[in-house]
Amino acid sequence: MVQEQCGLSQRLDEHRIRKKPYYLPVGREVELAEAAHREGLPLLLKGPTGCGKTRFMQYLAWHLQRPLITVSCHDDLSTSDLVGRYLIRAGDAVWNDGPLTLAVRSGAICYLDEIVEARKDTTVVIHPLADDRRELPVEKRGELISAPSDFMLAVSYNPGYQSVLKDLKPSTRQRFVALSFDYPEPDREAEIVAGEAKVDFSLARALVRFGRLTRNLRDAGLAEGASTRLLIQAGKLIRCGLPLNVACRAAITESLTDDPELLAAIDEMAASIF
Amino acid sequence: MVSLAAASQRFMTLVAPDRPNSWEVDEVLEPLADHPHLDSILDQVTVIWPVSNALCYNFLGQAARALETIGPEGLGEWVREILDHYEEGGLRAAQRFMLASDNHGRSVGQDGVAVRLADIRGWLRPYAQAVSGRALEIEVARRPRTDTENLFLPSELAVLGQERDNRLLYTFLTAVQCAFVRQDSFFPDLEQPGSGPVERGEELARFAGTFARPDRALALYHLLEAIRVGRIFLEELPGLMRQTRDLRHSLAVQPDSAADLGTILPYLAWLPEEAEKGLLVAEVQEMFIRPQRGRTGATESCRLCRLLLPEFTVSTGNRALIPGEIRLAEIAAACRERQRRLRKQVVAALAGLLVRRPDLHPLVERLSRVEALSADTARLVIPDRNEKRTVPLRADRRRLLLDGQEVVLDRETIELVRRLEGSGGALGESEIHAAVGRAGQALTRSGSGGELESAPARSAALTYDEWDYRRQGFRKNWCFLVEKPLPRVQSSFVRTAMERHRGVIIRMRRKFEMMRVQERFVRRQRDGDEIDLDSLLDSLADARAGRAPSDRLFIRLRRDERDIAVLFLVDMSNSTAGWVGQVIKESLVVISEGLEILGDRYGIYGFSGMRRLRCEIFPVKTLDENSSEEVRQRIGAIAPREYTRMAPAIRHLSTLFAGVSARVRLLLILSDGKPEDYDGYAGKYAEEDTRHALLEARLAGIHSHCITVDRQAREYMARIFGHRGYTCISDVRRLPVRVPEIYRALTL
Repeated sequence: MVQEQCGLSQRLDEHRIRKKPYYLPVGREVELAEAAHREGLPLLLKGPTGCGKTRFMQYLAWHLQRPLITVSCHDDLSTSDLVGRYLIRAGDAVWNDGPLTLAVRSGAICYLDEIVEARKDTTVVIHPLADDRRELPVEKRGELISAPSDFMLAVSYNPGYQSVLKDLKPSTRQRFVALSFDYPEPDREAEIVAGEAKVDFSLARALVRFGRLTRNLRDAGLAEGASTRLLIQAGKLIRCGLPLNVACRAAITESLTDDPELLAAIDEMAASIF
Repeated sequence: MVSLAAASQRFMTLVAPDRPNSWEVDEVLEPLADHPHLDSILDQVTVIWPVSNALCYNFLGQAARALETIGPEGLGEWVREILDHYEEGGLRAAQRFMLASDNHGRSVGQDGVAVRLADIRGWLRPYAQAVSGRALEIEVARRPRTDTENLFLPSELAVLGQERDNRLLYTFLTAVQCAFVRQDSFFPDLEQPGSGPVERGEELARFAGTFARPDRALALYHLLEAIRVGRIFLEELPGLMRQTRDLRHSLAVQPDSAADLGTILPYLAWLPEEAEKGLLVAEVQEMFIRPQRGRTGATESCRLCRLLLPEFTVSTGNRALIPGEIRLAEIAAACRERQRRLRKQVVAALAGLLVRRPDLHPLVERLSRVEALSADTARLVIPDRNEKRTVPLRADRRRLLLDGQEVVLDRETIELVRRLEGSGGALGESEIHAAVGRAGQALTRSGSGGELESAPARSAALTYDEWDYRRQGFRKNWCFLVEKPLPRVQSSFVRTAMERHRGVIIRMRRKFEMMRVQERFVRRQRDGDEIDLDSLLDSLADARAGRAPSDRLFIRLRRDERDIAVLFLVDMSNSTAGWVGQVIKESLVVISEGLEILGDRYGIYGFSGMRRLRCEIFPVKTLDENSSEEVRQRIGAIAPREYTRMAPAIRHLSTLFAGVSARVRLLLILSDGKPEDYDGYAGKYAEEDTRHALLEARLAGIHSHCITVDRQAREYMARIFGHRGYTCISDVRRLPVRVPEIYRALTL
């Protein structure tokens, strides 16, 4: 039992965030999330790719001093992957907590990234956790775990896909306090890019201007424009001494599209800006 | 005269089987008989003649004069434009276009290496959209200009020696025009609004009208805006300014020391970085370099314009490309058009919103009978600015007040309303009234509930482009398509068909059930939900016996979802009358049974029509509709009608698919012959148009396949559908058996 305890705290330690993550609040999202945590309400973060949803969660976990257990959802994610399963070890069947159970037991923050990617029947397991019951039934062990007050559930999704299939069921959705994220205002975004990629502000401004131009192409063939994350990546490459055009092409242009005409247009935009 | 005879002979073969009056032909060909580019001119006859004979004669009359400016290689592009004008405004418009000599759309200075707009259009369009923030169509004109919906550029640039430079020049010219759009150059806030409010798009006309010489004021204003935009570029697009620096230098006319504003300003429009150089009176220069905060923008240019006009003379500096032209009437028309379009969209979105709220239905029905709504009964509530700023994460809390009831707008509608406001319009009582009326109409039409929002929109004719291979371009909005309900008939057709093909259906059911792999347990997995006891025992036994135990100890539930949406497009042309049509319908009955088993989403649409102005599509079953008695009756009601203009139907179904998310989107066409229509839509033209429609569908991620019962099909089917894109059924009676087989092979 002692060993098991030891294992749990060790597993949790991996999820603790010790260093303050860089996060620049754009509104009152930190206040809201803090209040939600205090009141035991689950969080829904929505917004386009790479606009800072995951970073916000890291910041929040650091701020609340709770471990953050992140699960990236995919369409093969089963309930067992979240709750846990028996494993065979040396002839014995040993129960192994899944990330969700681990988080509930220890009062951590469980963050299900891109929740819509998971199958709908999988997402149902979070229902009893996401309302005032705040409990997780573990069927295979016949156990019902009540979440401690520190536990918080957060999910994220990207409404930009505009796909009927990739939408949240209302029954899931209507349990959450929703925070909507978007790319920050130009100056803020430049500040973020400069801070994260450690490049000077004028370069960050130019990168942001470039990113915003590509976002204008959202309906003209691009599923999404360049995210803040992509801009930061480009900034990092440039800081490593790569020429601007090479870095932008590799970090932004090529990751946005394969269409030759759009590639040419985005290249031209880069050439105009830098 | 030998050459005239030869030319008219050639003309006659080109337009065959038509036999035009030979004296008429001779008359137009006579001046051209010895023309060095007669062949290129006559090549265009095949393009224009089928569209309009009169237009063709007109073209021949103008061709020689046009060739002087555009050269033989520009002829194709010119003709394409003529046809576009013809389709938009008829013969008159095309004639006017031909006569307007400045529209030959070529800007050639020295004999440099030309860059053609057609070659760079592909990337220039998204570039323009990114820089302007609006989807601008690129059109051809001799001098660059924009009306905020279209971007006009020369069809060819050979101003500079190097190809690269000409390309860059295109980019620069595009950026400048786009910046006019982005910076709202054509919509300044007028300081003194004069008399009454100004319509959006009329601002500049009003402004210029306050001067004795409006044209001069406008020219000056345009130059000032170009400089302002250039100054912004120095900040925001430094790469473009750096790259184009040399070429801009070579194009700008350097003013001498005693130069006046009329020379200096065009120079600065090309080279805004020179504004620091002290070419202007110090205080004016200061305004360019450091515009005061809060006094930037188009309004500042208006003020400067007033100030500088007395000293300004229009000179012949190189102004043709920068700032280009400004056509106020066009801009005003584009604004009106945009407002109209957005207003319509807002009304439609709002109507949809109201229909989706059953609790509002009584209110909607009551209000839709009212003559007009007062501003008190219906208005848009915009939370005041201060409130908005404190709301976190930019929530927009616009809502509608309808007779005291609050209607919260959805994101899409808010976005549309914002755009409407951006274009100078507003969501007022009349729009709300229109939306309420429309929602009320939709409610009464279909009882209540159901798919109401699309009903009003669908009842109007939709327009689709048609591909004309001869000019390698689209005929814009050429086909008018309506969705029509099939007549209600009571028939026992489906029941009889089910009886007749019972054997087929039973066999198909077996096969299809096997395809329907939904959920199954797979054993002996390395990882899974449950422990596989059998394999655990084996592995324990192995371990005891000293053999290496397996680590595959789990059972896993695997789900393979068939995520398929299929639309059937059924030929309802005249030629399907009789036996063929019957069999096609029977195969529909059979395959629908199969699809119900598989659980694939499917829709059935029939198509026919006559002439481009009356293409018809008959929904038998939409994708989201459940199979019902009514659907079965509609299958029974499918009956031969008129012609086979397949392409608009394909384009229509492609747009239906646009809103559908599925792993596989399949368009299955059941046909009995070639695409053909009454108005000469046949042969290669029809084939190419159909082929292009399928190509567009494929680009949109839609797979298509055609099943045909035409015995002569093989020769043309491969051309239209590609080698693997079709199946010919030689024995018509086998169709009900073959369709499920083909479907199975396509989606396995």
